[in-house]
Amino acid sequence: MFLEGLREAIELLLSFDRELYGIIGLSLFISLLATLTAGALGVLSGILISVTNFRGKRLLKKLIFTFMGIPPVVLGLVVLLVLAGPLSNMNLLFTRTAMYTAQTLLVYPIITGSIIITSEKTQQKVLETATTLGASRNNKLMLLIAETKPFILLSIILGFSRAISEVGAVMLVGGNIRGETRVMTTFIALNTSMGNYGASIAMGLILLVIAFLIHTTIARFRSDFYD
Amino acid sequence: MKKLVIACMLIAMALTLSACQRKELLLVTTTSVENSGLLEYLLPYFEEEHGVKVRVTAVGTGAALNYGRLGQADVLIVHDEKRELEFMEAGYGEKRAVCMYNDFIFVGPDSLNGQNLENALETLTEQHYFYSRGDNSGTHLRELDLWETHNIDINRFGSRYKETGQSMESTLMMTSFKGYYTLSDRATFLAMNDNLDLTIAYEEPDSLRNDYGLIKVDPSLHNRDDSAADLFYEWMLSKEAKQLILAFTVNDEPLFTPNE
Amino acid sequence: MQVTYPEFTLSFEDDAFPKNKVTFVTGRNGVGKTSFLKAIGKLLPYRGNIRYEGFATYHFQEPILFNRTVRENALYPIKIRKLDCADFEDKLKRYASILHIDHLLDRQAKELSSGEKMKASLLRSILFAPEIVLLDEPTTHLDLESIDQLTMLIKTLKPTTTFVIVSHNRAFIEALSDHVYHIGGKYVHR
Repeated sequence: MFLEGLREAIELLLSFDRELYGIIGLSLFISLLATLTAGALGVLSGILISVTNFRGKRLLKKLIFTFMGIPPVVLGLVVLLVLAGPLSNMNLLFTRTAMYTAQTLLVYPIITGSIIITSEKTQQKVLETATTLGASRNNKLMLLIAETKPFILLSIILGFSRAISEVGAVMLVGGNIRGETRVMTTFIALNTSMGNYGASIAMGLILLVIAFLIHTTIARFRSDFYD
Repeated sequence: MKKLVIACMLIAMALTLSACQRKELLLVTTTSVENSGLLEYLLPYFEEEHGVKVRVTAVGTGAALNYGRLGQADVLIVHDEKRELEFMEAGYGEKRAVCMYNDFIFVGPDSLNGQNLENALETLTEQHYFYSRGDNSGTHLRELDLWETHNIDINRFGSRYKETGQSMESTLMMTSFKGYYTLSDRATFLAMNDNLDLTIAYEEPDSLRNDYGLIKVDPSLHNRDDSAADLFYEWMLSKEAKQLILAFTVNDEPLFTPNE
Repeated sequence: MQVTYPEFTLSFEDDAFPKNKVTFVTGRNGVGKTSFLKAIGKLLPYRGNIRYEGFATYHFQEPILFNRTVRENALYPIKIRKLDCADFEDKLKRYASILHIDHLLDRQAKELSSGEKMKASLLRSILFAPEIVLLDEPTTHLDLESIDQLTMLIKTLKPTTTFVIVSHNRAFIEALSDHVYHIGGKYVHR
């Protein structure tokens, strides 16, 4: 059965079926957009939180680290209830916008948290060194951003990886609607439950390739930056 | 400490062995059957009487029949006559019977006020948004069948026709949220009624009858002992089971009607 | 001058560290030499009086360089002071060649060996001409030749810079010192 499925999968992929590739495109588009948004916000938040001291900083950090690990489906549930309840007049339920929002919310704490964690490692000595050289607070902020760049990239890649591979949030807030909100992961869920293993395997292979590309990139970064 | 570990291992072994002694039955069914709660209510009677443990998995009809073909199931309860018959014809099932039935109903925010089925269908295509299961489930195939039989062109929906590719429950929730219309089996709808903001938009129990087929998978497809499967098959068609099924109600309405 | 930390107090006379001279601070491990230097460099809080004119830069025993070239590292303090980097190009080349790292100026600082990193970091600390340079065990990671090069650099800078150096390297101390203070003796009160 598996071999049959594999064969069907390869046929499907080579046939350049419009619907299939449309779904792949949508997944990439939404996850990319969400990651970039979350990235911009997250990098700023992460660095600002790292360099400034304020009351409640510890609590905020704990909060961010907790949300880093929130199960996507739980986040999806929250967004669903908000879109169906208080914000129902905005008619965002089961739309691409809803999926984009959910994924942005999912990835934001991951990026912010990663930046904080990696910044704190580089932060102390870099900032101290900067002080010895006469840097102002703004100088230090710019310096930290420059020094954390590789980690920023890493965090963003990690965030994207999470976004593209999750199925819980996009299923709940998107509704898996054919032609509108169906993405790679929800497609796999659907076809597997239907018994269309060929289609599922096809999509699964693509996801694997993407995941593989992501992680080899991460590995390359890791080795590049062993001090 | 060592003694404790050995004691635990012995207990674990004893438990697993004892579980192996009991006869087991693998029943694969569709989500509408499982989620209605019928099996949870019904199976303990069978299990106690015959000392058999029934393991239930709910998947889509397509997957269920697949499991049957692979010998990964002992008994199936599905609701798709056409594909069931194909299954039997191909020799994958040893025996089949319709054990119970209910009907399909159109649900939505308001009644469709249709005098007949064709009317209702047309009104839908002309005025309303519709969620289709879109997953080749029994319900989905029945829905497609209805359009075809009554010569309704679903292109008239335009973009108001959407496929969710999800279970009946999810689809019903989505329908309720958005104020759309959909086709559902009565059992799932009744079971979920409290959570939904929907009403029966059109019903015609005679034309929209939904038969549930009980199929015993051909034992030669697997090398398990099929005596438990036989027991279950007979029991599901017995008078006792029929009474129990009839007694399974929501607001005094039985979700499934046993077949005579 | 008297410097007090949570644990102990150091007392020196005013003018104990004279201008444009090299003063060494020695003592056993853990006695407070690094803390003292850090205090001067304003990295550590203290109670008491430390007075000097100009900017005092503290150089770590284990320095870290930024993710950029050696040249960019060295020019960083100049950039942040909004000065013209071209003005310092001459000095940059000169000091770099004294330290024998002029061929490394355009290399990524993080790729250097530990000795080269040390020299690059030292270059960064002196290029912007701070009035006071505080070196914490600068001979760490340096081979004998490099130590000579560093000695030469310090001698070159002495007329315009005050050095306070923590070190345990006898030869280095003897080659350079104008004064030596040994902490743990008469200068420490607990």
